[in-house]
Amino acid sequence: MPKNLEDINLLLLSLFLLVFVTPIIFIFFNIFNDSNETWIHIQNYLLHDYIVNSLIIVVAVAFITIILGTSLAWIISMYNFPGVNLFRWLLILPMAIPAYVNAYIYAGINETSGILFNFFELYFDSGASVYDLYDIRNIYGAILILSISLYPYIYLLCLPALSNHSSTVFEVGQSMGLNRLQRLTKIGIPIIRPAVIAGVSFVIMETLAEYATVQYFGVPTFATGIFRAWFVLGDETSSFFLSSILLTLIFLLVYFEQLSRGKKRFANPINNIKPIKIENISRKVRYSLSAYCSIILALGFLIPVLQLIYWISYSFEEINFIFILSLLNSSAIIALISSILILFFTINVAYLIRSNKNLFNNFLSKTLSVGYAIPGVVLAVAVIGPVSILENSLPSIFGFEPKTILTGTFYLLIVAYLIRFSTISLKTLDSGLNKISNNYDHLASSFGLNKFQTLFKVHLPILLPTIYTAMILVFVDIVKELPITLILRPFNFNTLPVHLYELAESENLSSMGMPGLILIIICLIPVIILSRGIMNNESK
Amino acid sequence: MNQSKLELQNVKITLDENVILNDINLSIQNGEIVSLMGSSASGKTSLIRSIAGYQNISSGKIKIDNRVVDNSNEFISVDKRNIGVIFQDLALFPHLTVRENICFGLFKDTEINQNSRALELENMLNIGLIKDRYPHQISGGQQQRVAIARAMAPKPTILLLDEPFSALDQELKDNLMIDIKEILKKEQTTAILITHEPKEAFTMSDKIAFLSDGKIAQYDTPYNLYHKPSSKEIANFFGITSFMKAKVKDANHVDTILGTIFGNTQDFKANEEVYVLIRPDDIIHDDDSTESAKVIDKVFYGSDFLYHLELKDRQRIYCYTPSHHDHSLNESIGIKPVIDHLMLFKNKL
Repeated sequence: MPKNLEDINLLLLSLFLLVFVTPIIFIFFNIFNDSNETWIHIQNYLLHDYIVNSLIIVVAVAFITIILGTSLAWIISMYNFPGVNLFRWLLILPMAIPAYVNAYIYAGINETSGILFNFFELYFDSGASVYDLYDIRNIYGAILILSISLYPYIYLLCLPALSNHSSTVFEVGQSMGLNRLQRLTKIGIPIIRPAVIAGVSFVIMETLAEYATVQYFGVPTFATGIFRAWFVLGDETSSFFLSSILLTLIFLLVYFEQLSRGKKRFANPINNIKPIKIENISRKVRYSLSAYCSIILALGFLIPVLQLIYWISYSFEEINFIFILSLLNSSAIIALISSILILFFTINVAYLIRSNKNLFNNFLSKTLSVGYAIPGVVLAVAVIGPVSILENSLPSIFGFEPKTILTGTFYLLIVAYLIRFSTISLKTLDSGLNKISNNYDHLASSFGLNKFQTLFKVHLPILLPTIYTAMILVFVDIVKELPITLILRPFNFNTLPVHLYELAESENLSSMGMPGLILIIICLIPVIILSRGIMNNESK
Repeated sequence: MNQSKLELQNVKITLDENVILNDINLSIQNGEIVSLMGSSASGKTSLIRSIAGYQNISSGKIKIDNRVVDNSNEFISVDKRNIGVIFQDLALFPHLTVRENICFGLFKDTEINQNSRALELENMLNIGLIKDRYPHQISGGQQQRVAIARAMAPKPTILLLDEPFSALDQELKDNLMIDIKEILKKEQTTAILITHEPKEAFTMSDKIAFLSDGKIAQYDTPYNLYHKPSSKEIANFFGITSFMKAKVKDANHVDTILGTIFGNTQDFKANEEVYVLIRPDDIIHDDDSTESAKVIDKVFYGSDFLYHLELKDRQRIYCYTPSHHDHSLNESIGIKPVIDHLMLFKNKL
């Protein structure tokens, strides 16, 4: 790369890094703040609930998702039962429904516009008693919703971990006299443990970050507490303080996850893997396995989608298509701008790390990789915090009227997206670049190409499919993002998730059909890409 | 007179403070094909990477075409050395067709020149019919040919080949090696080949440099590396060896149990106990011979048998014999030593 171009690039990246770390450092800095009245109030009356609820939800969700994810991955890769090949990828579909959408749907399912209510009303004339039977708006409901929305992350990671090992490892175990249980505990579990740890730490992060579900179900957690301190109690200091506690917890979690993973990446040294042989099981067991998969699939995907379709038919004439189109339009524009920016920076960073491993580049990649761990609510507060302090103090220094320069603009929103979603893009690009042998770089330089030419003539063309994937993943994640958008959006700026949130706030669940379904369809795109990846991996 | 294409003078290569190679001197003439051999981790790849310019040397001098490219202070980078490289994984560009791959290094040339050069190479390497296909659509052997064509296209000063044949099966390899040797000679390209297969080195190269203990242990013709190895390590590396006790008789003869053998014994004193290097082809089976040995083991190789024989004094040697001479174990067979190059060693191991 020509020297001056390289310098400009470095300057740009340094700026980018500054934008990236300022909010994080800002939040951590606030852990040393003096307490004020509001904080004492929170500490005395609310903090206990935040901690206990967050803890209960995290532990319960982690437990249930591990059970669901590993058991499904295990039976899918070990046994042969009706529909096994279909279930293999169908079971990933619940990923396409954001947890908060599931929360709204399950809350509305036994109300007058709900399918459960209407089913019992129509056939048993007992809708009202179903309505009285249960209410999901509580901590157990939150646990259930988060579990069925998040188990696919564990399932998704365990599946290749199991399938990449030849059945022979289990056959060797059998030949040495291990019984079925011993084969599970001595071979199966150790093999999938790294995948489970990676998956469950992701689940825990998502759970701690979840705002809309717990908020709607009226369960106070850290995320709702941060939001409440800022927007209801109007006390920024307390929300910064809560954020710093939550962020510390999450970074500790990330640290331990990395630590526990260590060098334990179990890759089978042999490439041609013979698919795991399916053990003989009785007909009855086979059908109950199918039933188990069907129930999970129904809870996680079919029932919610059915409910949305029912809502569409329920209030079809009230659907404002032009409004929904405008929501889509505004979502798409901001997601497009953000994802292009993210791609630009992350391609740059990924390539820089590949070609030159120095301290700055390492720091850059490490910083970028923690972005996704920061809960949306915390991130929003972290981005807005330093800016509003600047906006409040600058006028008094320079002597002009206080005014908002950045708050409530697209700039802050884009910055927050950049921080949170660069991680996904960087990881995707990194794994793509890692598959390109270093020899391509060597070869290109032997032909007299400089690094810049090598990037454009060799890496980018080879990487193109990966770039598309990264772009789609980031784009969709931004489109379905709720808390950041909710807090940082400019006045009157609406997206599909924000619209759903507002409908839920006004208890207008039956109008969710169309916007909800459209959101799920958009979210299906990356899920299909992911599932195709798995299928390809396994067929190779 | 040939001029030296590549000259290494007292080259020292260190990797993370470890000295990998030291005091390397090597001179390669224009158009020569040289194989670099040695056990794994003997520094073959480091040496080739330094010649290419992917790696700096810590002292000494590398000259290409009499121009210093690295003397540990000044360093000419890869992109300015005009080196061609072929890697083990070939690194064909998956997004480019065969023709585009071949033309990749010719990007500074006009399109007409690019195409005529590509056409020329495609014809020489028999890949004209697949020029519009992508690398994943062609066979392993064809991919190898494309990689060669791509590296040869810009007429590199030196072509470096890092174990290019290791992924191929034997039959494919034999044909390919002959074709590549032909094209290298036709284009007068100087080439350095890393390989761990003696057969590859024998087929391809004019000379072989054998690396051992961070140094070049022997730099000679393939014939001499096989028949006149300078060390036991080299002797063992290039083929099956056995050693037979002997006593130096005079400046030109040694006495063995199989009789007196003619050869150079200058490095040893008269009556000194020595060991003679025996290749399996140094012993021939002859029913009329007065000497005999007992068969203790045999391996069938199709055209030959490899017999493991026990001499009368219980020493054991190997012997290749055409496979129609099928003898059973413990049978005594007549043998005769045919040793053209007497190689003596002080110790057996």
